[in-house]
Amino acid sequence: MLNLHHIFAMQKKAFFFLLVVCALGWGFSPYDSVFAGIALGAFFGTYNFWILVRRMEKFDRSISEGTKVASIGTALRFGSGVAAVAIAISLPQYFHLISTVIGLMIPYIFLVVERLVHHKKSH
Amino acid sequence: MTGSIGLLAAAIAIGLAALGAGIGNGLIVSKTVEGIARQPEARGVLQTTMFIGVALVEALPIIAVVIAFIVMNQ
Repeated sequence: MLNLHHIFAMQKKAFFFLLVVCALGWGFSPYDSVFAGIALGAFFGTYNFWILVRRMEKFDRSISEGTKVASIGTALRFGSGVAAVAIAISLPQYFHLISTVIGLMIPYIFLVVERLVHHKKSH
Repeated sequence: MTGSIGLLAAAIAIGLAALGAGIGNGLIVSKTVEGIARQPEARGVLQTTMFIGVALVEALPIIAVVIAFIVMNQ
């Protein structure tokens, strides 16, 4: 089974690929705000995953050392989601709001798809 | 446009999202710690499963918080 660093490395790879697609769409299509919104949302979604990986490492360390864990960063992830939407609301000429929300969920969709593919391959 | 009812709706949405995420994360973390205590050699697998579980449990509450924020700013 893959560990979380491998999963996050795949997430990063997919994010950079998506960023390239969004840059092409932003530059060469009339839907520039939609692609910018997706890129913004995906950036914050990947940031959420980075926070989660960091907190999981901390959690693992604290279990082995026997110390207490304060939190696994749920409020921080809620806050980063709100930050993405706040940017989209404050700059509506550059970022499409619904695309930002869709972009925020793209890393999660990618995680599910990647797990399904991995499950299919290993069984 | 957001009146007091709109603010109340946003507050309820954020509160329920936090409640759902809290219960879900609590169950996942408690079972993972229990599993690691029973089988310390399965730690890597349990950690990965916990990572995926926490990520998927929090996806919908994040959407709820985001929608509450959008409703508040309409």
